[in-house]
Amino acid sequence: MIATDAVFVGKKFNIGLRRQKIWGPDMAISFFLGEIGAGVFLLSLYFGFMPGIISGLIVTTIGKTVGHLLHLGRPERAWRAITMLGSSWLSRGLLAIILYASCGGLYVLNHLYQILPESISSFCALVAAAAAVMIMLYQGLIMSHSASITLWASGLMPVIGLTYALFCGSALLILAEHSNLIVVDPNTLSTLQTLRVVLLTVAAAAVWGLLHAAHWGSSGGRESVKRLLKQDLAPWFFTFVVVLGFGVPAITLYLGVMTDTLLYLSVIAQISGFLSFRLLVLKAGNYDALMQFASPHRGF
Amino acid sequence: MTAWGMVFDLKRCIGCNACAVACKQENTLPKGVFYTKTLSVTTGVYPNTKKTYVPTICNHCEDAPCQRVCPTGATYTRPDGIVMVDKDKCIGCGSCVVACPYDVRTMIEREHLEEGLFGEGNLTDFEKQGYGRFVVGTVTKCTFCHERVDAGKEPACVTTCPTNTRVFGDLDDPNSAASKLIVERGGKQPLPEKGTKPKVYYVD
Repeated sequence: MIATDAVFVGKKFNIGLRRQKIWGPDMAISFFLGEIGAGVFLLSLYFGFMPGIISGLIVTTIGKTVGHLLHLGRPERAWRAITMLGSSWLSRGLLAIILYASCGGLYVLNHLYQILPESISSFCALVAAAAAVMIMLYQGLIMSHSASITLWASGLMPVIGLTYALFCGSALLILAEHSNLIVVDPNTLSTLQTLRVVLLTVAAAAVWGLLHAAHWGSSGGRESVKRLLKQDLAPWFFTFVVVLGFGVPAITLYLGVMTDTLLYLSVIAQISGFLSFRLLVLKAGNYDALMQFASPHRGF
Repeated sequence: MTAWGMVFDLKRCIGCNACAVACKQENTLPKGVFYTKTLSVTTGVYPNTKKTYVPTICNHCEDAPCQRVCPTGATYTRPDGIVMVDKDKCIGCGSCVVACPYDVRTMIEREHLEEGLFGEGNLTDFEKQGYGRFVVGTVTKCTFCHERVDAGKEPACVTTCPTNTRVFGDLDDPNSAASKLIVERGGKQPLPEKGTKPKVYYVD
């Protein structure tokens, strides 16, 4: 059977690599808003920071939902996306968003107007927290289930979503604490800083692991990694994902105490790194070339 | 059970693209939309080079990733193994397009249905009638010409192929021409590492 070097063929009727184009910046921004909102919500809920809880709810529920609706070919049928909970991660994710918005909303309403018994309010908070974790994970699970695109087909994808979301959520919480919007006792703050070091390390290791797995996974994966590290996407990847997304937060974590301006810059750098990662990973996705053939699985 | 499948004999394909034309005519496919393509690849080093034509089509996989990821059930498999898209259920999320390793699904855009294939691009009566089967913002793909199959005929591409490159048949029937060809010539499935169990085979 056929064997040759894989090259990008675009729309030509040739055997070769093809770039995925169906999921673009709109999906990347929706994924980003969903994860960062859920991260802020979860940590704010833990620390009792109501402005963070409300911000997280708004960013995820409105930002992510609007982004996805704009992407859909038939947005008026969006409700149908919840019908395949048994097989589709997208359906499960939609259920998580509904639970997150409804239970989180009830929790906030109760906090403002005391309309619910304490037990129900706590239950709502618990369900919303579980849904927030699900939102951080499911987008990565959708991508990791697409074996077609080697760069995404990794179990590290949901890990990256979760760690990035919590890392950015914790950055915004530190910012709130620094701006005296929230009172966090020194011990908890120290724990939060340690958590940030762990999250930064895990996120960086997971991104490296994702690229490593793609490089050794297939010719399509290898070309994806090459684009990210050596070709057209490399300047963006190194500037935003590596330097701003990981380097700047690592330095600020190492330095510890800093001025307001430096802290703001650090948080902006970190968030721009996360957004860039989402954009670049979607852009670098390739379909493998149709060059591998093997014997049938059927009992011929 | 019936499990419709197709075998491509790469030694026979001459790259004439008659299959693609027949498919476009049978399914009234708009400009830029193809259910089947004949890809080519050149191997070797000059002067010892060889050009091979590889017809491609929806593989109607037994473990179809497009069906697994579909959040609405719009993509489904018929009892005879043909993977279909229900255009009335599709929401156009593109998950199936991303999940298909063979890149054989197309999202119907408004522009697809606005320009005809002939002359200055005005829609002919044939196109006006045929484009009614498509819905903007939904996904479409090869159905093995299911109306023809239901009527006991072969897909249009198979009937049209002048070199008998395409052999259509029931893969669950060991006596079908397709099954025999796979056994005799050692049929291979495309991109097996993706774990999709395609019902399209290649022999060379």
